[in-house]
Amino acid sequence: MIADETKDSGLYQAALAGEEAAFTVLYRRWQGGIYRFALRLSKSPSIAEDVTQEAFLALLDADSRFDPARGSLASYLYGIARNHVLRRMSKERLFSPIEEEVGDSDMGMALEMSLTPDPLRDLTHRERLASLYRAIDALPLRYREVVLLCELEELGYAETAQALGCPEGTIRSRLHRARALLLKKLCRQAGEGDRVSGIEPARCLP
Amino acid sequence: MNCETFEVSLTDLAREAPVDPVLRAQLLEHCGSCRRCRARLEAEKALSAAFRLAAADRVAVPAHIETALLGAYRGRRSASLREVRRFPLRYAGIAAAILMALAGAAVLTWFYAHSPSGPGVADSSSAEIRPTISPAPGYAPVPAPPAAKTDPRPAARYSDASKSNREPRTAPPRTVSAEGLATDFIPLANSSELSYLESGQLVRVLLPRNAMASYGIPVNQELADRPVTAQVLIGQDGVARAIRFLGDPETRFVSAKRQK
Repeated sequence: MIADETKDSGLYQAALAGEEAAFTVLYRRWQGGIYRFALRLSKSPSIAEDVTQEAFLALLDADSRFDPARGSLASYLYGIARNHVLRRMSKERLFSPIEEEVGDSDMGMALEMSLTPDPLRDLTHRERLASLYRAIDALPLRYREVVLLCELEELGYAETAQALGCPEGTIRSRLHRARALLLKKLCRQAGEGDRVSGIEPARCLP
Repeated sequence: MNCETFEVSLTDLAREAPVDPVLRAQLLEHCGSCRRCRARLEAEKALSAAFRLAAADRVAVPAHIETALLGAYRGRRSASLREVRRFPLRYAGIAAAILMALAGAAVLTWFYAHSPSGPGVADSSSAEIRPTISPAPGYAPVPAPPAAKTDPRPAARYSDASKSNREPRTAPPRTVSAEGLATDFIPLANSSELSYLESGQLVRVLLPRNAMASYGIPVNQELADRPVTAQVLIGQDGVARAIRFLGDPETRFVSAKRQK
C-alpha cells in the first residue's frame, strides 16, 4: 500500500522502497507539467519526451537523490527538466528544426476542432492561445522559463527560484519584465488585425 | 502611493497573489485616481486571464513514456534487490578466501619447519609458487646456522630484486655450506626488463659446479667434477627469472638420511 497518498516526499520514499504504485502516482501527478514545460521550452516534442523520461529517471538515480529539506519535488523535477532541455538545445543548435512537427500539430488541431461541438468558439480560444504562445516563444530564455513556470505551471516564486537556481527577487523582477514584454507583443499582434491564422480577410458580397 | 510604487506591486495585484490588505487598498485607491495605472492593471488582468486559459490547456503526454519509465523502474528495483541478496554471499566468499589463505600459510610453515633439508627441497616438483626473491644485500658470505630451515628475512618484491641484479655480483646471498644449504634466489640477467612475476614454477636441474662461479659463488676445486643441484624459477611467461643453488646432490642425500 502507498504510505502517503498526498505528499510527494512520502510517495518518493515509497517509490524508493520499491512500491511501483507510488512511483506511478508520482509520475502521473507531474508528467503533464514536466512534459509541457519541456515542450514549451524546447519547442520539440522529441526533446520533451526524452527530457520527461530523464527527469523521472534522475529521481531514482542514487547520485542525484531528491532531498525534501532542500525544496519541493516539483521544483526538483522542473529544475532537472530545464537543465536537460538546455543541454539538448545546446547540442542540437547546429541542426535545423523539423518542419513536419509543426505541420503535424496543426493537422491534429484541425482534426480535434472538427470534432468539438462549437468549432467557432474553439477556434477563437485556440487562436488566443496560439498568439499567447507565439509571444511567449519570442521571449528571451531567462524570461520564457519564468513565465512558463510561474504562469503556465502555476509554481510559486519560491519553487520557481529553486527550480531555476536563482534568488526569489530575481524571479519576481524577471516575471514583471516578462509580462511587460508580453503585453507589448500581444498589443502589436492585436494591431495587425483580428485575422485568424490561415484565413485571409475577404470582402463580404451582398 | 505614486505610479512608481504602484508598478512594483502591479504584477502581484494582477495575478491575484496574496497582497497585504492595507497595501491592496492603497493600490486600488491609486487606480481610482490614475487613469494610466488603471489601464495598465486592466491589461495585466487580461494577461493573467489568458495565462489561466493556457494553464488549463493540457497537453497529452505520449503513453510510451510511462511504459518505458515503469520498465526502467522495475529493472532498477530488481537490480538493487540482486545487489542486496549478493551482499552477504560476497563477504562470505571473501572470508572463506582469507581462511583458506591462512590455512595454506599454516601448512606451508609447518612443512618448511619439518623439512629435513631446508627450504626448496620438498617443492622440487613443478608446483605453482609465489616468488620470494631476495635482493641479496651486501653479498657477504653468511654462515648458515645448521638448524636454520627457513629464511627469516621478509620476501622482497621482484622489482627490488631486479635492481640488485644490476649491481656486480661479487658474492652470492649465502654460500653453500657443507651441509648443502641453499643460497637465496639470484635474479638472472635481463629479468629486470620482464613483466612483473605473478606466478611461477620451480624446476630442479643439475648443473656443472663451475656454473656457480659465474654467479660469484666460490667453488670447491676438489669437487669441481661433481654437478650441483639448482632450482630455476620459471615465470608465468615461461622465461627463467632466478636461480638458487641447493648444493651437492649426494651430500644433500646423505644429510637428509643422517637427519632421519
